[in-house]
Amino acid sequence: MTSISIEAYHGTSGDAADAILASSFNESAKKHEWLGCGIYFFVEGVSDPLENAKEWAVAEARKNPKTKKIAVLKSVVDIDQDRIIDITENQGLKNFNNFKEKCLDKIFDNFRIKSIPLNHHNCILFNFMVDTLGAHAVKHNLYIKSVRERKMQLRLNVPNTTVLCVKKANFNSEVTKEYLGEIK
Amino acid sequence: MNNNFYAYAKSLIESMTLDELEERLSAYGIDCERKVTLYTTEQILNSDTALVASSTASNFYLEGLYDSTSYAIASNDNSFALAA
Repeated sequence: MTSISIEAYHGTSGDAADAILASSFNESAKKHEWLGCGIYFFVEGVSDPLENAKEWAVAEARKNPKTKKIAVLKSVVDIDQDRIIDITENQGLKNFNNFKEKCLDKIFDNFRIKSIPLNHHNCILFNFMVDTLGAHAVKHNLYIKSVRERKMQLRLNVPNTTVLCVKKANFNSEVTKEYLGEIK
Repeated sequence: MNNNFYAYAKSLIESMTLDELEERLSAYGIDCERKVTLYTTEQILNSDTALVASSTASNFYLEGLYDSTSYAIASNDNSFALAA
């Protein structure tokens, strides 16, 4: 097993950050999670992950008027490189898509699937792959609306962040508070 | 997803039985049903082979003439049915 270390940043409210530091992360487990269920971080890649985490925390805080403080938590996540679904590079994407096609071949040849809500598809795909393969994390470039793009009601699709989703069972890294700010 | 991981993933999905796959799909809330393959009498009579039920529909095959009175055969994962 060859392990890789990834600096990872998680943006949230000040209160949530304190709760995480006091206990641990909760796994995001909604049916429309981008990369399946797990703990979400911004990591080095398309853009600055610390700034991405701040931006995300501000955008989420604006949904809740009670949130006055935001925070960014930092962690160094160790992952077995043979157990990460990294699709930020072409070879990883090729392998991912080849595997996806093999799964769909087998499913399409043998099953009729009833309709699934559109915004659940990616989450199901990643959950299926991660759980079936015993993967520990997924790393992918994603488009996430900035605060300004939300205000402008834009909906673009060019990836502007690199996101790491780690299964809670495989997360045992130390967490520190990297940034604390106030909402103006 | 590096090449080692892909090689492992590929072998895993190839060796997965349809029962296992169905169980996994259901676990993710995917409502699915098995496809059934129907064979005509002509297809059966024109074959030199008899029916053999195998563990998956994808490798269900004919081997020797099984029953010339059969009208159609419905194959499923672990079973087959004959309809006169």
